[in-house]
Amino acid sequence: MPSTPVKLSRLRAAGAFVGAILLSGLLGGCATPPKDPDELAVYKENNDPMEPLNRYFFDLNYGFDELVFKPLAAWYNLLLPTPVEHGVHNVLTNMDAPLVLVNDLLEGNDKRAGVTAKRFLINSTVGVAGIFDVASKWGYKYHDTDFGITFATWGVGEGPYVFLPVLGPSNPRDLTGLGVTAVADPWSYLFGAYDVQYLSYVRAGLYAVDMRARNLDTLDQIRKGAIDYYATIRSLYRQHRNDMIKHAVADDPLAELPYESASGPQLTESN
Amino acid sequence: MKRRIFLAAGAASLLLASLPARAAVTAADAQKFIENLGDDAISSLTGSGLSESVREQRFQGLLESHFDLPGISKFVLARYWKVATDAQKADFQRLFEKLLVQSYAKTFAEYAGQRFQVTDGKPNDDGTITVNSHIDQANGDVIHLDWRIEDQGGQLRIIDLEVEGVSLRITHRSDIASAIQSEGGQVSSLLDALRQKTGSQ
Repeated sequence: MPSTPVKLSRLRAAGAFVGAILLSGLLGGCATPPKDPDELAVYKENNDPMEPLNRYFFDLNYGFDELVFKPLAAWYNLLLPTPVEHGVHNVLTNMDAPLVLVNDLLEGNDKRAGVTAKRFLINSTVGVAGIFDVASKWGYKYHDTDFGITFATWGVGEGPYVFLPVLGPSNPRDLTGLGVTAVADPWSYLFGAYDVQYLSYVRAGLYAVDMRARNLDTLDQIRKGAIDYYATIRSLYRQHRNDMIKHAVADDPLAELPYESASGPQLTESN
Repeated sequence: MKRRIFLAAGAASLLLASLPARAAVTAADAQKFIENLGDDAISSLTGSGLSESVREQRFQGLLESHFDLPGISKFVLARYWKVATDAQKADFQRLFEKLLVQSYAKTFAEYAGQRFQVTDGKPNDDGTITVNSHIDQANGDVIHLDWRIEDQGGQLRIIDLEVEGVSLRITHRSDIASAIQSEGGQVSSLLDALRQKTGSQ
């Protein structure tokens, strides 16, 4: 069955998108807006009308994560030597570069597009298929963007907060962006054309494990420091996305700054 | 008319008089302040032989001497600050500080020689100063830290820290607001939850 992963990933994205819209329509009345004006202000600020359902999925994901992803990520950290993990991460990041470039251009960010293009060329060649991030050492620092961010720079609002099984925190704008990413991703077409569709699954699996492994300590720390973990993640997601939008709007040239010479405190290995 | 001129002159002289005081604390001072904090933190909080309790104690010391904890507590409790009694406010400040210590002190236990660099400092429109810095992680990630600093009667105090654009006080405010709300809007219930979280009496 040729090109199944392409269809599958498209289908999955489309399904998630349609599902989210349906849910937001059907269950929009899940949480009743409070009458107290102060409470109402908070309710509006949270912008989370589906909160009860979102919390349900959040708990579900949390349980699933504890059972599957977290142990997997921990084993991944334990078994693979750190340089190999870095290599895997760099390859995955490099594979994202073409779509980052598309979004840089759609956002009208010439400087950032230039950095992304150079990074992809340098790391794909000198960096041996993206294993080594040589470009960073040459002063072309990595930045991330996606279709959700691009829509935001075009003035599209985020819409209500949603938390989905597996996909995690999002909103209609970012979810649409995710759908576009799934359809536009060049690699799934390439893998399909060379009849190595399974690589799409390998990539997706590695992507999930890599991301989880890199955030093992961070997420643990956030959970321990939070009284309401769900609300904290909601706030973190929004702030993080808004920060990405801010950088995209500014065509932040930060990424093109030369690598700074050591002017800060020179630190020594502690252990 | 004369009176108005007199008032204007008075206002102008007041403004002039206040200018040197404002200029006393510069962005460079604020940068130095954060650089010193980075040095202090790395020299006193890292190191393999440090016990957790000593690390937490020292972290708390740095927290109290560099951060505007009363101001941050007030911001975090937000509208509930108005309805809280003085005893509740004091309780909240104490417990919130404990939460910060318990959540963040252990980050320094995993320190492995990353470089902390202060890169820039700029005054904001509201009189505060933003100092930019970053940490280069071993895995190639660069973490940007932006500090918002206020001159409080000649002493510099950190009023907020943004990590990759995520604000410390806004994140905690969202957490606290939801926690109080789910406890029926009672500050006392929040304090109970905080006591439980931090394992205090």
